[in-house]
Amino acid sequence: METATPFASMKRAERKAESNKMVKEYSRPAADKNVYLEDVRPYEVLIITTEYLLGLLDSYQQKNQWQIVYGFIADRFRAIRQDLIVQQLPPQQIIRLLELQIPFYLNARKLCEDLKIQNYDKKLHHSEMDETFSRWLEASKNGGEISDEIMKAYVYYYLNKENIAYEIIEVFGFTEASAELLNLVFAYLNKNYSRFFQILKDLKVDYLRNALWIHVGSLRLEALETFRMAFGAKGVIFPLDVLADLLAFPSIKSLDECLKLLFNLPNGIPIPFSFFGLSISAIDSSQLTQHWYSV
Amino acid sequence: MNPFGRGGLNLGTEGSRFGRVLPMHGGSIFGGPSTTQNQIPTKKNKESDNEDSDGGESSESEFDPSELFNDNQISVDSLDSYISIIMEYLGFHDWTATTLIAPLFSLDHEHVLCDFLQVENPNIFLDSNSSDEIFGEFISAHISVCYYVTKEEWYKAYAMQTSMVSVFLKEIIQKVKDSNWFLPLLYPLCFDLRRLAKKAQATESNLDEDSTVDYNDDVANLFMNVYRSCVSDNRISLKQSKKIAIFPLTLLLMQSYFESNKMALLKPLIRAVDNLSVSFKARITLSELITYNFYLGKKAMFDSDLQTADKALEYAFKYCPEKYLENKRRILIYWIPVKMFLGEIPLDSVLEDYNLNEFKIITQGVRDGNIRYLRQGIISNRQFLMKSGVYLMFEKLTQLTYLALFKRLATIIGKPHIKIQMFMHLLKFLGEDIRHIDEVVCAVSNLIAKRKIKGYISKTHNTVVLSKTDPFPE
Repeated sequence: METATPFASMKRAERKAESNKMVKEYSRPAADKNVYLEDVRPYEVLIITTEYLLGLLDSYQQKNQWQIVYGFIADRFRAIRQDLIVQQLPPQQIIRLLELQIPFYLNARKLCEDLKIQNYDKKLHHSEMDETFSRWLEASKNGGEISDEIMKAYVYYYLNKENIAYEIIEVFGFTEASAELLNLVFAYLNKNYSRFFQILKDLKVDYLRNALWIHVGSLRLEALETFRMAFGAKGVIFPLDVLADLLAFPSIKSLDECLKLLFNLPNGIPIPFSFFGLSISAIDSSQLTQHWYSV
Repeated sequence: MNPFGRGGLNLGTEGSRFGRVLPMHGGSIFGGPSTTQNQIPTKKNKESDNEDSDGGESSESEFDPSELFNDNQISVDSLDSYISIIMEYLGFHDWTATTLIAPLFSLDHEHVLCDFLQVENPNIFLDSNSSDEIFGEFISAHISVCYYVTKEEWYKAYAMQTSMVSVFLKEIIQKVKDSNWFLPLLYPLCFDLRRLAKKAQATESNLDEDSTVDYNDDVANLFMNVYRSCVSDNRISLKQSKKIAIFPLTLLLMQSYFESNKMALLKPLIRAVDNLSVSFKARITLSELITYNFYLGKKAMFDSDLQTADKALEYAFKYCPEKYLENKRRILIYWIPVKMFLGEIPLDSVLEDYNLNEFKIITQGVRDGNIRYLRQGIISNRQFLMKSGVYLMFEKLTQLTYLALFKRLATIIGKPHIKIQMFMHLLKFLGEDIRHIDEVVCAVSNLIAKRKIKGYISKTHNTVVLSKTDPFPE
């Protein structure tokens, strides 16, 4: 990404570096490594760097470019956070920087999983997401003002976290925005699948959809297991288009794949579809295939 | 009569630096009477023993702890007498003797207020060849802590107390083998350390709102180090094994982990208690068992393990003496939602008896299926429910309230077919935010899946078809 032709296939020695494209990389801390003050970028430079990196996302949107773009931006964002921590910026500046990074991480996760990117490490990505959100939340607790959208992204991402409801109230207080978020949390807790998937369908902002998206697979699995009990009487049919719509599947085809996996139907889905007589296969909710997450 | 001859300080006979009335003879965490024999120490007539002995056997082997209870009470009225009585009792190297003297290391005891103990840096001279010389250091440190507590210099008191526990761990627990007579000293040191940490933390927060120090975490880590040292002792004899300290330390750690919301760390502690041998379990006092079951029940509640929560909280409530009303109330705050999930709604009289009127509108709502009352009760008591940590539990009662309401609707209709739309209108009438009929379908589906309703839903007709026999099993 710091060369004239970042996506061209060529030997390393043949690449021509362009200094105006160079961005400070992440340097793993070590006991014998000193941090030099002159190397720590001030806030203004960090903002410009962040905006430059986000600009690369607009410039390189082809799927075959994503692997390189993702690796580069993720590393440079990590370096920005490193400089941010070392100089202990005021809360509002931390929030400003991190609120620019958060959408990237949320969108990147989905794209990397959809495209099955080679250098994508799910655990590492998740821990960087956690670290970013955690510093953002800390800055908010220390008096920084946050955006409603990123607050939503935080709650959506951590919807299944045990004490998320308490966090909403303690950190964000009782506002109209937080009340709406609490409604979603309680809907999730009370297994209101309809509300969850309707909110997912209504979301227009991509990073918010992607924040909520991580819960889609496990909720769909749970919903189908529940519906098997509730609609499992003889003669009771459940139209597949209605079911696909309720669980926000993009098509009946993707719903079919999930039904085949869950209910062990190698010969296909019975039409008209009924939950009657179906038995559940053992599926590990932490190892769901891509079909469960299709949106 | 105050046996320690207080003078100068006029804080009342039973004042406490921690804002509660000092029990005369020590106490449990919930303020009940201690079940250990914390009586005023008595003086043993050593001279007559020494005359009788032939000099061949050591005084320890001849020592009968029950004799400690036979002699007349003595007065501790000076720094010297305070030091000498402690050293005398510790010199017996006996569990009972140490237990009797332990209150003199507790900040709940009246000696803290004695004028003659208000010395910042007491110089205590002991025989450097004595194996008990280190306890002189502890006495000196404790007197310093008493001084700082009186002056409300909480951080200094906390720092000194931390040193005491750390040194106790390194120099006594980890070095002394084949013996555990000193462990009763550990308990008041640890109890007080927790409370001093809270005081120091509160002072720190008042001075610096942005402060990120967490003394409670530091204390929990220190307790865990003590715990690990005791747990790793392989001796099985009650008189030698340090495992005997596991249970009291478990209670301290449970309190710390609940406060810092680290409930995942409770699992190994509970496992270790389950694996204690019968002889160790027999040493646990009733008040300790009540406390343990309270925390066990609380954890099980948060883990949605209702059966364990019910059993543990029932035990804690049943055996907690009636006079400790506040403690029984605390237990009920967690037991009531558990019971409600299991289908038992408390009577209003119970709520009144234990001053839990906040729950009345909630229990009525769940009992009658009045979702409006449930919501009102939760909103109006939100702060209280959040502070108690049961806010989410009560929110989850929505499903049970829906069930009660659905049952009433089914009774009114009197037929096995119930239109989902009818239930939806009823919910909306009671103020529920229902945006689509499918939300009601999901709610009823969950009740059927949990076997609270026997029947099925016809999606085509959006109708619930109830079983003709027992559609609402208990």
